[in-house]
Amino acid sequence: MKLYNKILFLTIMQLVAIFLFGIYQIQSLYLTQKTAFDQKNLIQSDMIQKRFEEKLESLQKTAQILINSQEVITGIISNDTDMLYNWSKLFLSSSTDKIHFVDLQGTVISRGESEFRFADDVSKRFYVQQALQNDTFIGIDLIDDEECLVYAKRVKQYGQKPIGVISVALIIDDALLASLVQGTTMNIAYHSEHQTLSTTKDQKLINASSLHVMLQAGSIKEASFNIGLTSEEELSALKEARTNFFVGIGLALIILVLALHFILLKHLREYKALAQVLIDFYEDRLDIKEVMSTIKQATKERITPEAKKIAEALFNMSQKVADTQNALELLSSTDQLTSLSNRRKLEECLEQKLKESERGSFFSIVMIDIDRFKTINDTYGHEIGDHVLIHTARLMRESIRTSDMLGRWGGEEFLLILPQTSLEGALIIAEQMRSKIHHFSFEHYPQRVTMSFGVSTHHVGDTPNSILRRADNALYRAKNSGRNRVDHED
Amino acid sequence: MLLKLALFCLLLSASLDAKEYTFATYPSNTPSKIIQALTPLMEYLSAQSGDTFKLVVTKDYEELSERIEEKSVDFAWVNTKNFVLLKEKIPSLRYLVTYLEHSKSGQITPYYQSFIVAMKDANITSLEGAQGKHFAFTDKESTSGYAYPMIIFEAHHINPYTFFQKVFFLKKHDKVIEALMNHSIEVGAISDGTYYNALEKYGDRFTILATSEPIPLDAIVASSNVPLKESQRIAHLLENIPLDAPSNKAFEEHLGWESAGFVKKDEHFYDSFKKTLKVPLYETLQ
Repeated sequence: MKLYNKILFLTIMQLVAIFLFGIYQIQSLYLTQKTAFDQKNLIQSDMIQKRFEEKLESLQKTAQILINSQEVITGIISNDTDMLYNWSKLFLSSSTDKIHFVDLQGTVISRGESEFRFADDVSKRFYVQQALQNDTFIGIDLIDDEECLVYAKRVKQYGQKPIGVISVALIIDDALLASLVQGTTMNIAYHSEHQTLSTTKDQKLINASSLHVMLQAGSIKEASFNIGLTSEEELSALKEARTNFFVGIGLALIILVLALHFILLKHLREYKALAQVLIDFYEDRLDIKEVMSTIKQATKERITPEAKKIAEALFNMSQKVADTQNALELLSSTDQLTSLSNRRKLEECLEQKLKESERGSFFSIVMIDIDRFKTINDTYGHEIGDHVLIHTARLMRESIRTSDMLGRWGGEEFLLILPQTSLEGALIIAEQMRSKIHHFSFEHYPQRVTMSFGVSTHHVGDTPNSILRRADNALYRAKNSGRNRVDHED
Repeated sequence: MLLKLALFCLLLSASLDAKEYTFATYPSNTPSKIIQALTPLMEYLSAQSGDTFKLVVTKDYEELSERIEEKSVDFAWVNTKNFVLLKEKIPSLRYLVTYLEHSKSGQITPYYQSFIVAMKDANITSLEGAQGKHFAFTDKESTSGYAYPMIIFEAHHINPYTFFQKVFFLKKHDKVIEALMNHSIEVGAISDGTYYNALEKYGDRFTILATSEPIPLDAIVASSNVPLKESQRIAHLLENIPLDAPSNKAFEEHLGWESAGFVKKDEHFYDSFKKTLKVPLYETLQ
């Protein structure tokens, strides 16, 4: 597996593991909170239920207290509006909005909540009829055009003789609904055929459930109390947090993977580029100098410090390789005694010049041989012979141009290749060289040394052998003509 | 020297004759207000008579009645009903004067009246036309809010408990007005003062269906243990209270009564009230 894939895979695995752990944690938290939330709502629902029951109980208690009062009994019998008012107003509270005393004919004797409003007929009211017929009514009914929770009870003198009805009522309004849900996060809605009330503007309740109230069927149809939540705000926040976490961590994962991808690409590209240089070198697409220049170029570009160090190391290594290569090349192409190019190098050069001549250039060659060198060796020994070879080589080297190539062809024979030089030019150079050696005094060889020169120039269609043969023939002629002379091809 | 001695003896004899009288009244208002209202009158009587008048506010009528009967008070301020009842019970009780008041009609009278009124918009023009309507008294203890209206009904041969659809008791006169204004009732019994106040407050929105005989105002009586001559002297002093006397101002300031002093009437002035005691008692208690 590629390094890129390995790193990417491992990193993604780690991120996915973190992501999964995060999901597990947030999901656990969500479930814990949801359980607590549901529990809280259940408790709140019970609380509202209890409050509602307390309201009903309060109505019943108030009615019972008033019914047990002898003065109230007397007040109803004697139509003592004032006394009934004074009694009932004492019991008006946030839990009791209306207290009415009604006689058996259904005429209101007194209203606790309105001192001067009485004497009207309520005999047709459902709650009055129910109380007169069945002794008690507890339910929802219209009282003075307001929908109320009503507890109505027949009032009896001496506990036997019915004398009227007392109704104690609580108006079903926003205040009542608000008092039921006060301090909770729940909302309550009341719905009937006449009106719909709610503690929230948003009429729709979530997870709504009806209040379990033991109310008698009244004249108000479809009356019901529903409690619920307008919004699962707390849970929504948690859900939102969970979603945000998921989205966030998902995005983070994508961004991290992309970032990692690009970072890896960037870093690996540098390494890959360096590796490619080495591959190109290995596959001979680049020589060592091109390798060095490419690496040097790379170190100048924006590159990571790590890659830069590697590039520098590679550059230094290439430098060493190049040096070694140069040394080997020099060794393989140089005659050790004279430090001139050896025969292999000369052949390469000649091949090269012949190739160049195909593109229009020209050259001449000079085949050189030390006259009677065998005699020198035989007479003075090989050391002196070598001495003569070394110094004649040096003298010849000093006589040529930098573009010329002088090499030891073998034994006491030398070859001089003269690029862009005509036959005449070559003859001049050969002559100068001959003269210089002839007049040179060797330190350890007491006699004059002479050399013979055979010059040939390039002809179209030449091969190395053909041009060498012509030069060699010229040299032969120079030797045969008395040595220490320059001769040229015919 | 002899002259000085004679003068000293005269003064000594006068101071020995000065008496301390107890003046009792009923709790028609909070005791502190009653004390503040009646104190200037006590001061006036003390100053004018040379005697000392001590004010007593009894717990209720019953106590006042008992104390008059047992003669532990010398003078008393009693309302009409109590005067009639006490007089029947204690014949020796001596009538002195009757309280005078500026009536809302602008006169100074020792009496007031009871009206049976209806709302004009109820289109009831006579008492007979009120049949089947809702009616309200103040309460059964009220002179002008129950007793005298009952005399009116008797004169018209009306049993209000059957004549009207329903009869209510509202305790106070102005509550009858408020109930009329709220159209809870169509007819009600009130005092003339309440009527004139309502006229000022609400305008001419009421029809007077019937008017009672004059209802004597409260009386000041003397116990039989006060000598006749002495009681006549005190009655004379009460009759001569100037209109701008501090006592009249104190009544208005503390009780809201537009007092005009006292006038001596005949005991028979209160006989009309005796009729109320003979009015048929239509019990509503069943």
